[in-house]
Amino acid sequence: MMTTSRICKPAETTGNAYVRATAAFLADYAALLSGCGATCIRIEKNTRRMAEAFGIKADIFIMPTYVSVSVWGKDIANPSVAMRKTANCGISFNLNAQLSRLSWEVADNHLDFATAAERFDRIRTTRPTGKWEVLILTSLANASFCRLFGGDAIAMLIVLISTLAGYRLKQIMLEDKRDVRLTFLCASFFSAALSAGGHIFNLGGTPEIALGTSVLYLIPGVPYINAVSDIIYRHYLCAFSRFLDAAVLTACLSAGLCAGMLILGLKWF
Amino acid sequence: MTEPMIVWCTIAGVLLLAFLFRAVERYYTECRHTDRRPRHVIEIGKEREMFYTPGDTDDDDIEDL
Amino acid sequence: MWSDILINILEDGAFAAMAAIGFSSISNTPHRAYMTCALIAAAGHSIRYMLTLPELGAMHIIPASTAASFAIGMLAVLFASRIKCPAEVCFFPALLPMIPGMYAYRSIEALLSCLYHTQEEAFGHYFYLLAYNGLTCAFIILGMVVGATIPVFLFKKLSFTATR
Repeated sequence: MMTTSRICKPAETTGNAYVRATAAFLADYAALLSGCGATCIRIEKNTRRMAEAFGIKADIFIMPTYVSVSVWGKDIANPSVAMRKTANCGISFNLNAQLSRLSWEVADNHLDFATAAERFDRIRTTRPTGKWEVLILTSLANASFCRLFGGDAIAMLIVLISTLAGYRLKQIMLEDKRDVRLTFLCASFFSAALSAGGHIFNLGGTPEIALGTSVLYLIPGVPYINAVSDIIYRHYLCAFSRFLDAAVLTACLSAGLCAGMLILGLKWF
Repeated sequence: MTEPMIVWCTIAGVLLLAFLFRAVERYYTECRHTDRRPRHVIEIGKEREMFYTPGDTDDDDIEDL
Repeated sequence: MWSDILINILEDGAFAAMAAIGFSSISNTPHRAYMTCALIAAAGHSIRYMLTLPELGAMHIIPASTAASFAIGMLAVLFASRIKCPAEVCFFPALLPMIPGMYAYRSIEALLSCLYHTQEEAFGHYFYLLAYNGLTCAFIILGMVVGATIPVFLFKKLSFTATR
């Protein structure tokens, strides 16, 4: 998570210092919004809405790892540009909702710059959902998913256990700051290997469904949806980058699954 | 016991051991209070470390989802 | 027979709701949005189930997903302002259970098999599986997002001012 704010608070509300401070604030805002997995159209709209409320004009340039905001007051020939690295906070709809609400509060309630910056600092310290809650809910979700694909109760149980183990492994590896691709590979390998127990010990009537659905909790759904959403709004570079990110992770989880099946001597198709 | 069964039990055992080690490691680091990061016997390096030169800042900003 | 189908549809909705809550918790969805997401996901997934059922719609999975996503988008736009969240916070988690994950990793598996088999016939078979799974996956996601985004376009004002 982000820690302290880098925003400087302007002493005056007009002039170059104000424009510079606003540019820094808007760049921080856009970088956090981009990091929490908002679509490009939302980043653009929210940032521009706030800039208008602050009485200035802004243009924004969104790249997958960096966000750049150009802000100008009366003098368009003398803009202030701020560039920030996309925040490394993981996908969070909670942050997305809070940041969107902040932009409307600035626009509708005419919050002044200092209050908006203070609110923003409070939002960026929002804690993510508890890890045990996520672990249990994800495992239950994947077990339900197994049922949607036609698995029986034993297959659901197998998927529940293998997801619990795999997702916990993913959490531990990410806490230790391991590479995300390696994490996906290991998590899918162990989930697949554990759920292959259905085949090996002849448990239940649908062991192949248990094996097939055991790694589905790793599919990066939100980047896939975001990629198509960005294509619709013509942010092709961002769309391509998000798609490739998701595709690489899918390839890693698929490789983990294949490795698990290969080691246990199971056929792929 | 057939061969796949032995392999399966080994994989499950390795995972269980990993979780167990993690728990023990956590317990010891909490007792020591001095070093927050657990010490590993075997560590996997990061690709960044190839470009490290003495004097570089060590900013941990590896992307994670 | 019809009572069986009805039970299956309800069951499909209930499990899709559970799946939506679980998968959305990974993406840190606000707690107040859980029930709404579950409800929308249940409605969307059971619509897709009905449309693909041979006795009812007998549709292909791509148009069925698009139609179900359209329903999800409509519901999300309606509910978004009620829970003070942007429309995508409602419909993204609801779309997650419909993401064709199986097709996605099957295509990678097929790619690996392609590299493994050098015989023309086997290679051709796995290449077909790669193309089939990959294309189906891509077009399901495309259809889903387009379907869910149309209501956002139709009710632009409502959907972009949900957090107001």
